[in-house]
Amino acid sequence: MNTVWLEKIKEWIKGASFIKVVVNKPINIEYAENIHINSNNNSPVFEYNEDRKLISINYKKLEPQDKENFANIAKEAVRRDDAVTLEKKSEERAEDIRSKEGASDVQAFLDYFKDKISPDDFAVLRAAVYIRKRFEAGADSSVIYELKGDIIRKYGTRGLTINNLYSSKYFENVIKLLYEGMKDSPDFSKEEFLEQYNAMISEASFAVFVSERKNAGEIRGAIEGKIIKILNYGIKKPVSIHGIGKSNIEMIKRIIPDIEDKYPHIKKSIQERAGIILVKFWF
Amino acid sequence: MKNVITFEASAKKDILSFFNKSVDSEGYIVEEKDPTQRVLTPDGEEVQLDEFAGIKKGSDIFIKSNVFSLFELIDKLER
Repeated sequence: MNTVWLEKIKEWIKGASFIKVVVNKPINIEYAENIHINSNNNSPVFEYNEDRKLISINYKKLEPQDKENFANIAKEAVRRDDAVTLEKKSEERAEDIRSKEGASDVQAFLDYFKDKISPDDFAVLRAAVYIRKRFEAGADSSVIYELKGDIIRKYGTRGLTINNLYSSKYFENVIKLLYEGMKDSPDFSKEEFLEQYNAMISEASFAVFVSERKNAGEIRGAIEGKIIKILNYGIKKPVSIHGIGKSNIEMIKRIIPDIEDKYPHIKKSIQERAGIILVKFWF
Repeated sequence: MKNVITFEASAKKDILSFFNKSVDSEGYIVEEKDPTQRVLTPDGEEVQLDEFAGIKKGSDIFIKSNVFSLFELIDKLER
């Protein structure tokens, strides 16, 4: 830690005019580690919290000469001495993110996906992980709304889709399995995985991910629900059905004829390799 | 967090003044000497006072309060 700037602030405090007028008892700021600036009518011009090793300065109440000196030191702290100025609320959030990302399960999950998806998608996934952690910790809905708003503002619909897929555990239960299923294939390439992954993301609104926890009736119902939506709104997108593993592939293959019987004009394509199946239906 | 000077929302404009920045009539942070010039984040985004979270080393690198700006900050501080 570069503490040059911190020492400069301590030196400035010792010589500042307020220290003689406001602080009427000896103080030892030698062990101070944190500086906090406020600017209001209520806080004292200077305060030292020994337990938190925190010096608080009320900039609004400084004398003009002290203001100028302090502003110069703070500016130099950032421009020359590597310090960061950060609003308390953001500092607390950054600390909270760091703490939640420090958990071994989160770290393992993020490490797994870090180099497998694009940096933008990874940033969204990281935000989605943080949102879920905040939700599980009982965060107020306004916090969740604000964080989801950050995703939408920066990454639009794709960002929201990734967040929704993560919150439905598709990254753990489907996308990770997709990668694991593909990676052992002799002609595996990252590009091929990304092609499948991107198809999942872009078609997620009209995709059915088949898992062993669902029975044939539930899967058929989910597929038909998507087909009805496409027909009702004239949507020019296919309904895609994703399955990983032998039993899921067999299940999907058993359902395909039922769908074709019910919708005789439906077209289909089937891609199957390395224990993964992708079926697309369209009109 | 180490090496961080924190501030209350009430001190945002004072902090900006340390760096010769002010706020225009639409709420965007601008150069004090040239108020037509709005400051930008490294991603090229203009910064409104409401979303201003701080400044870090460099040619005044502006930090927004959104989660992605904080990810970048965390990654830089941990490097």
